[in-house]
Amino acid sequence: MISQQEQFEFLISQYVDGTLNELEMRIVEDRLKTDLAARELLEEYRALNSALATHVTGPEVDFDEFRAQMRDLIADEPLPQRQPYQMFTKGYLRLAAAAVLLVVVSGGVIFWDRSQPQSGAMLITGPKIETTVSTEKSSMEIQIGPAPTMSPDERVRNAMNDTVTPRTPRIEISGAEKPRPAPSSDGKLY
Amino acid sequence: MTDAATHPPDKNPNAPEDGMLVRQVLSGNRGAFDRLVERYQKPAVAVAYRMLGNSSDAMEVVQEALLKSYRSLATLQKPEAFGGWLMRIVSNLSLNYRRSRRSKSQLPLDDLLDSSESNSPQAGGDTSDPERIMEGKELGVRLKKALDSLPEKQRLAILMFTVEGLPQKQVAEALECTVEAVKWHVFQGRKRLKELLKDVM
Repeated sequence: MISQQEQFEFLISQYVDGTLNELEMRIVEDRLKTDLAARELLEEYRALNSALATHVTGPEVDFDEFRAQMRDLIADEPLPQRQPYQMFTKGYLRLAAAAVLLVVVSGGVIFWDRSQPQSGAMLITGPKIETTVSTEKSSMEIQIGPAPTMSPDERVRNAMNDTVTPRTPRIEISGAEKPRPAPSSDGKLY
Repeated sequence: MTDAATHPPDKNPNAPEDGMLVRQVLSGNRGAFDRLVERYQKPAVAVAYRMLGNSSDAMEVVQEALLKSYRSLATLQKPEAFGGWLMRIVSNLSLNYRRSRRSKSQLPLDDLLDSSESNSPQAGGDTSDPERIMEGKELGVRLKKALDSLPEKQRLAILMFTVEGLPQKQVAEALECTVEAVKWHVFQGRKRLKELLKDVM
């Protein structure tokens, strides 16, 4: 955090250089009209600039000779020429990098999305559904219903026999002809 | 904002812009590079001189910097930023040169104090008044010592902008900072110089 005094001194430093905008210049000039300390500050900065210009000078160099030496050195150098690939890569390299990044990120997002378990899966329970499938020869009826509930007697019997009654949904198929079993993975019908 | 922030230090307002000269060099005109040398040799040598302390090292470094800039001119992304780019090469090479000199335990041949006094005989204002001349010389010596004690960026900002008159934009490119930061470095450097020299100014 800079103080107001330092802010004003910063403006004075720029005022000496002539790099202030109109508004800033007006602020400084209004203050200079009424503030003696501000005028003294301005004089200090001007004196410093003048001292720098007078005392901080470069070395005594014959710049014409230096330039002639440079000309000779440059004459021995091959011409600097922009390589075709440089012209190509200059603007397009960033674009290509951005495209690659986009592909990688999109691929990652898609892969991540697919590897997640289906969070929308629902257990369907409800009343018994009856579906009738008709074929040319016969018709069959598939009944899908909730898993059968065990009676207390069954539970005791199962516990004593140490057997488990599967609690899979009951599928009843009725009809004139039983449907053919699906082929196994090796293509044979059992 | 005034011209000081944007225009290269060329006395001729009709002189071709740096960008145009760079493009001419790239299209095979070596003479255009000579124009760039003419434009920047003085500030480049002055900056290297203030960083290295003697003129022969400064000339060697600037020659190397100019050759380096010529060889890699095709890699310059913004041809109009040539001035700032060259000054950055000069200041980096000067720093490297100074480090290698230090590592070889060679003391810098500081001819700064001798030569610049001979460059400015009227430093005290009236050359016929020995007392004024002495005062001027003392101020010169103190000023250069104070300048050398400043942090690198403040010193370079003052040298390039206040002393050599390079545009702030070029100084910003050379120092790899913003124009606002250049203004701040110049201000902080001046403020410090004022404090260090308050008994002689």
